[in-house]
Amino acid sequence: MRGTVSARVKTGLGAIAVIAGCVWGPPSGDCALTVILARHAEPVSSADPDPPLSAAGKRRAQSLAATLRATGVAAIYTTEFRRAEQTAQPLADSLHVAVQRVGAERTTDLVEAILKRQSGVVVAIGHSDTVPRVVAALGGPAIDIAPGEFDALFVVSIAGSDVSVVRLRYGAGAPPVAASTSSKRSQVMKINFVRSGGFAAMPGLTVQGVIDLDESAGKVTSESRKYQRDLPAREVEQLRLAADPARMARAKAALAALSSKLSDAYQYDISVVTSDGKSQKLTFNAGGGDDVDKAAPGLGGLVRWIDDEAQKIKEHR
Amino acid sequence: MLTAPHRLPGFCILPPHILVHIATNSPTKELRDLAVHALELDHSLRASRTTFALQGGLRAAHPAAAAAPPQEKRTIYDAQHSQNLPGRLVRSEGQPPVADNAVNQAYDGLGDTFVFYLSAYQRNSIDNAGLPLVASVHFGQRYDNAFWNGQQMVFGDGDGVIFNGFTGCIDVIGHELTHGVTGSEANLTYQGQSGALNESISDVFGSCVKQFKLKQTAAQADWLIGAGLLASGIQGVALRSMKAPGTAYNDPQLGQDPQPADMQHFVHTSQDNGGVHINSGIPNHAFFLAATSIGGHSWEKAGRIWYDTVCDQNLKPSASFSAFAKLTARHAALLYGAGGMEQKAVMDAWRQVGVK
Repeated sequence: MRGTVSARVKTGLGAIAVIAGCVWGPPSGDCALTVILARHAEPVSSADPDPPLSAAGKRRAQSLAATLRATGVAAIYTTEFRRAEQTAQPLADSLHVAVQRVGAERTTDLVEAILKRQSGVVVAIGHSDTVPRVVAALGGPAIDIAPGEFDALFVVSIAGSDVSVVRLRYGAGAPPVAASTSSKRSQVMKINFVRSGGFAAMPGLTVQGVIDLDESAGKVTSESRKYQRDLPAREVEQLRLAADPARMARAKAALAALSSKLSDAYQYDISVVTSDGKSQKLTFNAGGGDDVDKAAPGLGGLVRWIDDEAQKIKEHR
Repeated sequence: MLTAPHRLPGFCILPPHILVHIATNSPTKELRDLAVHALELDHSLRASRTTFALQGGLRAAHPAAAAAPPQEKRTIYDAQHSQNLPGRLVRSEGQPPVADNAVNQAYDGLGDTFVFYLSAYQRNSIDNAGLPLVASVHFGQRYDNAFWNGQQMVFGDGDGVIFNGFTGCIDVIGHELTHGVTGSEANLTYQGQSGALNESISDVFGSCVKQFKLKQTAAQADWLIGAGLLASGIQGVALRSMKAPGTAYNDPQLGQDPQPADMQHFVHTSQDNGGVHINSGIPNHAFFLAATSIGGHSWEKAGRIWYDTVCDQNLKPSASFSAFAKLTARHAALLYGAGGMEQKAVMDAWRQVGVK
């Protein structure tokens, strides 16, 4: 879902660090750091690896400047690509703040540069893959930016022991072209899943299944157990949303980090085949869907579904 | 609580939980290392569970451990059949038993394991720095599993058809807690041979906790993992047998215990993190052979050798069976003399399971 999403990260840790007179504890105005991140605006469509902004993109860059002009921006970072620089330029011009370039591949350097500032408001314009990486490195949750989505603005606030991320929209909404592309987008047709391992790890506890989906109907089959169940239209729709291949692709690193902390948790092998013949695979360990949602928001539903179905499959004689 | 200033470029302003997040989740190694280093500077964090969440990446000595007398700090939560952790607090250290038996079993099992590590190896909790022990019971709906999530133990109730509740077995609790110990020491990667070693170490000390509690010698012990866990209709005695891997159960519904007892029968699979719960049978059996050959209480000599190996900085996260075996032989020699009965028993045990 797009719109405003707010996520908070909090731990029960009581430690407070004192740095150069700056106390990290309860939020304090002087020490709050706000990082505003956005993907570049719409580029022209061309084979050029470094395309400039389109007319719509230039309008969006103007509206970024209008939106952020009064927020007290102290520094502006972009990548080396023209579309990112051109997105930041109107804001930089209106504030008389120089644009600082940090290579798209140098996310680490960017995060370090941002964190050195300790307080104030910083803007960073990147790309659909670098913005989520920076948000995660700042301590925020996993976020995603869809291919045709240029209007997302992320406000990361770091204060006290809290990191909060608010997702906003700015400028014109996604153009109709993007909307029609998404409705024609290839659909999930098949989901294979295997849940194995766990503390007991008995062969009979490993559950395997295949979900076949067509327009509005579907069925789940577990051949080894001679199990089959027809899926109602609503469940088909839910599974399609839960098993979004793009989200799965983005979740890989976060789920690998989750897996590395766990022992005796189940291993999940999930592969999704779409109507364009492509497939997306994911292997990870998890202690249930809530665990997965914390690491990769939105994917927990699929894990909860597999856990529930595994119980039905196991009980089937 | 105030701590010394951090001075590391880039991380000096960050609250510790963000450093932990960066240390565990960052896409690049440099960033992770920087965050870990910044955390290391913060001595107050050494004893915190958050530092421990770095999967044992910090092997620093714990000055705090010597300062206060070791004392267990147990907290049991009820997940109330959700998957939301930790859940509702139901029993804290020192509080009397509650009506819910699973809560009391978890509380007692954590206590037994804490006492075992302290008495047998002078280890003060999971991190040897008095880490509070946290467990959640009633996780999920009829959840057939128990696991360690890097910070706490989690117990399902079992479905009542295959399993009884997971809190009923002291060796299961010892097993889960030992994952924490391994995580804060060797931090063996949970995949393939190093993963099977990680699993085996949990079975070894899980079994030792039970033997310690029952005051059994190696000859008297049943060497089973999860005895009593299988519901009455299931054809089997336990989940695993260290004495005779592959014989714990043979049930029409659950299949046959797939554990090998030697390298000739090593199982190659992509499931279960590369068969970590299957091939653990090999090092499990080696420990059984060494402990019974040495005789007496397993935890005293064989256990000590294994414990020192797990805590040896030369044990790499990616260690193979062979690397682990060599280190056990070295520690047997360090503890009881080169060429002594103990070292011979250890080397002979590994030879018998085909680990060279």
